[in-house]
Amino acid sequence: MILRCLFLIVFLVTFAARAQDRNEIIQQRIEFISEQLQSEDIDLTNVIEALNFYYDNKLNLNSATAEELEELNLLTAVQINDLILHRKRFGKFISIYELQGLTYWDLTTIQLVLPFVFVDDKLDNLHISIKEALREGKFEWFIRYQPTIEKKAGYENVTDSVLQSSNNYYFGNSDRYYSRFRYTYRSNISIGVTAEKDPGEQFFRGSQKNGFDFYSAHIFYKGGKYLKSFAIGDYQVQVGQGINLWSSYAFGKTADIATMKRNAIPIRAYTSVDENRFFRGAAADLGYKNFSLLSFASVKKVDASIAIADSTYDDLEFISTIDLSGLHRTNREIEKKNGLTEYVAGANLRYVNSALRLGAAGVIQGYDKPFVKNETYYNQYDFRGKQNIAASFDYNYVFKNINLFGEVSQNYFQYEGENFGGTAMVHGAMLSLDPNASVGILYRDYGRGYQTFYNAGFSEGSNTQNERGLYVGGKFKLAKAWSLNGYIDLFQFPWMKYQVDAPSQGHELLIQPTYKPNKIFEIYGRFRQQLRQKNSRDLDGTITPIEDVLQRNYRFNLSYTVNEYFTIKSRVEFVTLNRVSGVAEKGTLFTQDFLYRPKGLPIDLAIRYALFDTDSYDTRIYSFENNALYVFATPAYYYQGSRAYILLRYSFLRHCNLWVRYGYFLYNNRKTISSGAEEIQGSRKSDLVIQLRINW
Amino acid sequence: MKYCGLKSDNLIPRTTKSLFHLIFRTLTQKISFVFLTMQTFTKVLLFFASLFSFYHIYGQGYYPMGGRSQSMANASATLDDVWAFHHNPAALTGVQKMEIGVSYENRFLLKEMQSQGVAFALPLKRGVISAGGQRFGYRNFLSYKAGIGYSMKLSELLSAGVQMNYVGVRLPENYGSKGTVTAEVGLLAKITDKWKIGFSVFNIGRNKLADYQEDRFSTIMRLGSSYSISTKVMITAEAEKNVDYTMRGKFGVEYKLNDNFFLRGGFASTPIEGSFGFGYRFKELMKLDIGSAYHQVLGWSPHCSFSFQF
Repeated sequence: MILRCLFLIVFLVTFAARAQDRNEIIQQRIEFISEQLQSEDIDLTNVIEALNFYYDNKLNLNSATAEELEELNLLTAVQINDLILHRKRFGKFISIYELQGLTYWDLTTIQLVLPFVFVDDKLDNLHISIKEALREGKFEWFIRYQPTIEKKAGYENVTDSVLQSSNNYYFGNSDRYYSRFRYTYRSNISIGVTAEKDPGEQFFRGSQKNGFDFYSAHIFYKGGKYLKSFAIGDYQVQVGQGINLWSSYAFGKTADIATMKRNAIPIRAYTSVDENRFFRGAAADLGYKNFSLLSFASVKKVDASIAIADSTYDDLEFISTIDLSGLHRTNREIEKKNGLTEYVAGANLRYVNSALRLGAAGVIQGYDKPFVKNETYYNQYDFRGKQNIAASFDYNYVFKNINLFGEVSQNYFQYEGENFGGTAMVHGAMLSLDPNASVGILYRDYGRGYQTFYNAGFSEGSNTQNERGLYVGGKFKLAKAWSLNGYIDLFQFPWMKYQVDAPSQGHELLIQPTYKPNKIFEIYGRFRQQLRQKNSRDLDGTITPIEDVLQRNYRFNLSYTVNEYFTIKSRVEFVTLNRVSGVAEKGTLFTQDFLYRPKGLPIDLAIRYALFDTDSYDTRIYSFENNALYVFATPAYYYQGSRAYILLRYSFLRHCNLWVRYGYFLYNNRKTISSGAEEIQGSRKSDLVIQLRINW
Repeated sequence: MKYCGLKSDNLIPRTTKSLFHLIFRTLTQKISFVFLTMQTFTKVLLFFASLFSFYHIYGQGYYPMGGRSQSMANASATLDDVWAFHHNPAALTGVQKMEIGVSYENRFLLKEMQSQGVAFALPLKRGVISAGGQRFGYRNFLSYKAGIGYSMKLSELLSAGVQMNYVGVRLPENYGSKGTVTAEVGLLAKITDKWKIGFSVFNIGRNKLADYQEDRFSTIMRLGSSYSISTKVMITAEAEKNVDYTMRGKFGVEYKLNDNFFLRGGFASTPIEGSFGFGYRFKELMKLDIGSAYHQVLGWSPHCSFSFQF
């Protein structure tokens, strides 16, 4: 009996330890990427999925392909090439320690990659039989419940007539429901259904007779010799460097220069809940020798407000705005739902050999009704009409320690008998000077008339349009414990932008020295300076001039894994903002995190306490927060107050994981929070997440 | 960026003002403003504004010289080649053989903003004796410097250098020309084989250019550091303070592709300016360095230098 108990305890401890490791490793990477994105709603499902997958199914470095290594998003093309050349020249790896012998792999990289790879001289040749797929396949089911705790103005009990005539009240209740069911067999087969109801949307009544507001389903296969991959249902497509077509999110500038380059995965199953950035239909990637051909077609409904053309001789309907929020809570939002049918089809022909990749792609996108924006000066080159065509060419070449890559794209559309279009291009080079030093350079030039809908080119602005810039970044390992990361990005916008009434320019600069004497202790400091030009707030009623807006962020971050049970993280961040027409503003954020994994219990605990004090919304500071798996939170901290949360993860019955997270913002000197339908009376805003995962 | 010239008119030294007027007049004669659109007009204004800030950064008597330094955003207080004459006199102790170099730069590709430089160093039994000079400008505005110096090792780890320069400014006809003798000193400390720190001051005496409005030649202090990450890669960082203007941070990288070929890059802040270039060494004797700086509004500033060892 005692023996059994002991065994159980040992088992539990090791299990918990393993789980913590995984969470921590992946969390760290997600934290690193998401902190740079400066946005509250980001979706890094793809990244988590890839890392989670390779954590469970470690890549055999003796058989891994360049594509698989790229999918990790941790290695540069030069490092991957280095590994593959090493394999060719010296044969299989015998031990993982051999990685240190690779010319362009430094210790940090090896540490970063280690949890996701292994070395085995048995090459696993993949054959998929239905029997094995059923036996070895994994099922996973997530259910999530996120209520809104404080009452918001939009949920006020009002009579039906008020509800029908006003846009200030929500039809549904204030909870968010989410469910995801998925079957996967290695990375080769995935079948899944996702459903979500946003707060304020109805559930099984009114406009939502089908229950959830958003459903997504997919069947995905990868791994054949000729049929490399295909997807039916919802999927994502990535091409080249993302300036023509990239339906998922992509990273921009981060302290790691490796993220400046896009590694396209032709087809991906879609498992997120963004209601717009995906395709619905079918896609297939066929391969023959060095060539592959991706072709896809998608038809889906998009939210849009329909207007009638104000003309006596035609009463055609047209679209004035497309709504990408995916929310259907009020009258107006429900009215817009599925107002427009969007179809997208395209093909991408690729040639791949060991050093060189070339691709050419053509994409056609159209609507069933003409899309006519209200014309203003800044958007006068934007897409109008029914159909947009874009063609692009991309390349990626690795020579010794240099990786060159880029893409050129051209689009074309017709509106009222006239032809429009623009060119966009991006060219980059990544140089691994030495295992301890790499430098990246990227030049981009996106024309003001360039338009495609699903793109994610490297850019300062939110679109791959109207921008020219040069980015140079570097990563240096100075000594055993010291490293230095940094970049500088000079950019200009040759045409006006939203709230910028003139051509403008700016720069961004980041310097981050890190001291990491061992695996458990790390300190880094970060300085970041951003200069952008915006409309002056000194208005005299005539021409609005633009002015420099200078933002500087200073950060000090410390993380220390005290022992196998405790990790502490502290951070102080300070921001200053200067604009010519305003007074200098500043903001401070001080966070303390505490991660605890009690001995012998299948529990993880993450606690944060934070104080923040910023002069305005403009001086807000974003900070990554731990959350339930696949829930992303990088909220903005602004005004004055405190923030705390507690996240508990509990593993039970071998197959189940339960996450519970409760957090709140408590503001000083504030009687209401937010405005309009989202307004909360009081000074407290809380959030609760409850998520259950069952996998077998 | 601060367009220092336009707002605080009375703070600008007289010579600068006259330079501004001169260039402005010459240009206005050539370009008919009638045809300028609003946008181009803004551009022109911006151009002059930025011209000012640049002119100030490289105020009278001090201009960066040498292709290697310029390609690394002039984060060069520890670079110990012959061009150290223009950056840090102490670093000249690194010169092992007699060496002479010539340098040329064309700022923003404007023919009025060219500079030429020369540097010479002769290692003696004890210490290094050096000479050098440069000129910047054109017929209607010329600034120049010429001088000699001596540098020596105080110990294995510390070197020092001193320099005397005649610096001057020449303006056309009625304005005439002015000059003075300034003193420069530098220190270079080797902390480890990989890590060096250098410090230099130009125009210690804060010599006057003219009595009118206490117009003085710029004084500049530089504190820089270089670190060799490996035998191939060296990075440098530097802070530079010109008494009149905001402190500038500078950062540079040099990559040794092979024994003869070098790639370089760097950037400097306030105003933000990037630079890059390459260097080629012919048979250990001759060095050719070519590159360019880039400013967002004003564009390219190519430079090159050539040096020869005897």
